[in-house]
Amino acid sequence: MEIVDLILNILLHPSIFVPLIFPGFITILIIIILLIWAERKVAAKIQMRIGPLYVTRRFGGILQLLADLLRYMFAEVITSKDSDKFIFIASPIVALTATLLPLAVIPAGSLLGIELIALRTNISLLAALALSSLTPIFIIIMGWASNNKFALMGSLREGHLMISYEVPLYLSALSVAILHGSLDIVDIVNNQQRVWTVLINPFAAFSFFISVIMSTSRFPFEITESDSELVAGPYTEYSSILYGLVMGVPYMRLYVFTLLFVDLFLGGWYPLIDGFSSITLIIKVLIILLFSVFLRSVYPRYRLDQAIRIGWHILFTLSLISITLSLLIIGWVM
Amino acid sequence: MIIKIINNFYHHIRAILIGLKYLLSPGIRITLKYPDELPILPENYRGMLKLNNELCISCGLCSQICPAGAINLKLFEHEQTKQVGRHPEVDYKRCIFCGFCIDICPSKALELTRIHDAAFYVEDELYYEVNRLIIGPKIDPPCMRSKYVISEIDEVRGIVYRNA
Repeated sequence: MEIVDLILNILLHPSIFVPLIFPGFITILIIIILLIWAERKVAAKIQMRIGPLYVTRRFGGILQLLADLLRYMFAEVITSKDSDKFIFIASPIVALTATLLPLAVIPAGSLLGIELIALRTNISLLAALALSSLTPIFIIIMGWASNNKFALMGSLREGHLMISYEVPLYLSALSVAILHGSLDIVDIVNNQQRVWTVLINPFAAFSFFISVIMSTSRFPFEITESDSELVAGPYTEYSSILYGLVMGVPYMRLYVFTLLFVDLFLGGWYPLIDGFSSITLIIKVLIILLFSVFLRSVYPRYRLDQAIRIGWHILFTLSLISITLSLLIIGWVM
Repeated sequence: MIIKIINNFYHHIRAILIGLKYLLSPGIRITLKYPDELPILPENYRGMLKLNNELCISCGLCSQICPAGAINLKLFEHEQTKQVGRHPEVDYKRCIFCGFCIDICPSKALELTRIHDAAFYVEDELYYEVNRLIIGPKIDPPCMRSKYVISEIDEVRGIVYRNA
């Protein structure tokens, strides 16, 4: 029994529990499987189709993605002759790891008295944003290592998009930090006990959300992959389990950013449920995730130059307005 | 400038609301669940072919008219009647289901069936020799249990399927 206690103690320690179980890897896997299914079903409903059905037919094909994942696992990994093989194989794995890194500093409420934050620092907002900016670099590297024209075009587009969404993203996060006078996400969430930030500074929330949609290539800005033009963008040459990894990366990134969005703007784990405050958080996260995949069925795709114009003309202006608004509110309260 | 941005924003909101309306409204679905529901096809639907070898006069017009070159003639002796003749064979890898062979046949030996799913487990099965052409195509075993539906045009919903 001592061994069981020991294993439980190790598993329930925040530094293991957070990255591995909640909100880390296992939760992400379940959420992605359900989310992609929901995305296909919602798009099918709006376009008068049926969507995935034949795997677990009684539950509307809910295990379709699990079947796809199994198929990816047993397929052959093909690397093209002229690709840079080491980087080609390593970069999806590193990209996946880099995508999950911000979870170390993003708090996720508490379960049964365990504070779910792996690493409490007083600059956790900065750390989360800095760690989240690693992934696009590896997406660009993927396109370069593939030695394929579609992949190269895709990663060039990712590069162009990156400079246009990162500035508004960070500026609008900064305006939240100014508003609450802290760079610690836990402090920011605790400050929202009465009023959520989205009600005080809606401009920041709007520009942050659109930047997140842009950065995770969800639909109006699905320019990097754009399968009608570039096959699959930077992921063109990937096959089997590596394809499964690279297709998971944007969804994981969406999940991580949504967690951050809920913490910053939608009051995190408030209103409090005693002992299970993470449940409030995860419900909000699921609603935001569903909304962002729902956009697929409404929008066509923007051109690259249109997306860059939106990034610099509208989002950048909005994030500057949101910083001014935060400063004005702080000055007024003082 | 500002008015244009606000106008754009309004249109975005409207698009999202229309999407939500379709998402929450009770299902309008125009998909036919094909192997489970089979449509009842019209009388002269151009499906796969069937040969009546007793009527065939070995003229070879079907082979000549075929635009895809899918019909070959082959010397064939029927096992029971011992009737000998040059009868057509159909290669469904090439057939485009145009129905010219049925139109040209002077003795009405070739006839249409309403079965169109030329899908097989082995590639060679796509080539119908004379004795298989005499038997004609069969409905796939997965379709044995499926139900038949009639497709109708509905003014509101587009296509609707009614149980036959």
